[in-house]
Amino acid sequence: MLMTRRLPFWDMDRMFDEMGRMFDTFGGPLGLRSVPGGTFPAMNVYDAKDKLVVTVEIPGVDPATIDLSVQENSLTLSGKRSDTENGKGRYYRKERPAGEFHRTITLNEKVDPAGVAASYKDGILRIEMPKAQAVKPRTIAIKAE
Amino acid sequence: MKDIEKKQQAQITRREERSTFLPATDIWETPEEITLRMDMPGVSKDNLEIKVEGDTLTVHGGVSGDQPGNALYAEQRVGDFHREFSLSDDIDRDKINAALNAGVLTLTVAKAEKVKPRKIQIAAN
Repeated sequence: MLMTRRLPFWDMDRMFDEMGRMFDTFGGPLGLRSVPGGTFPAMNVYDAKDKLVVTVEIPGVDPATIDLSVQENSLTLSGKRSDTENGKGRYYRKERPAGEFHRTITLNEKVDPAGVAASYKDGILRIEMPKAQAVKPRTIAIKAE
Repeated sequence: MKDIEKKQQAQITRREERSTFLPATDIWETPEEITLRMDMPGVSKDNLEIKVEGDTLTVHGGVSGDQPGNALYAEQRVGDFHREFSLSDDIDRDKINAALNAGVLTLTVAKAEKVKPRKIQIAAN
């Protein structure tokens, strides 16, 4: 299954996501930890005072193969989760997403791309981004005439 | 009365804070064995428990609930992983291997000798 989806209309994309969410839960066991198509891997964004922390659930990949790029206000992640075992025997269940993924999220605060640190542990990618130096408030002197 | 309400509220909050999820699982079979592969991001070797009781194989993975800060946006809630599988008689309970690698648990379950396919040589006359 191809995880990449590039649709020009965001609302449309959103609608498909909702549909995916609906259909994914049908038939599958209740409480299954999965994401609707197009949203693998799942991301959480946290505000940790002087930095933004993003955690990504992306188990079973080699971190060297993940493409991560951070711009001032967006984060892009792409890569591939391969399914090496595919075709080797008979499947009874296939709930784990596999294939290529590509995700971009918009950050709600500007960050400093030079200071980004990323680590991968137990299948979770953690990206720490220092917030950009806040633009200093500027006082404008008013000349009296 | 108020105490009871408070207690209930505390219980409700606690339940909302901590959820348990079924790990997404692939199961496939080859003539010799059955493999179960589970996504358990955030589970380390120390927090993983696998046990066989009678016909039930239970996998439980604990996830630390520590959050790095205030959540601004969340696609996944924090919770432990738990899943149970029924084992048939065709499985050799003593031959279950487990490997945890980068948040993916692979369980290899050997089939009992009696159900393994056996090649029968045909003698040519």
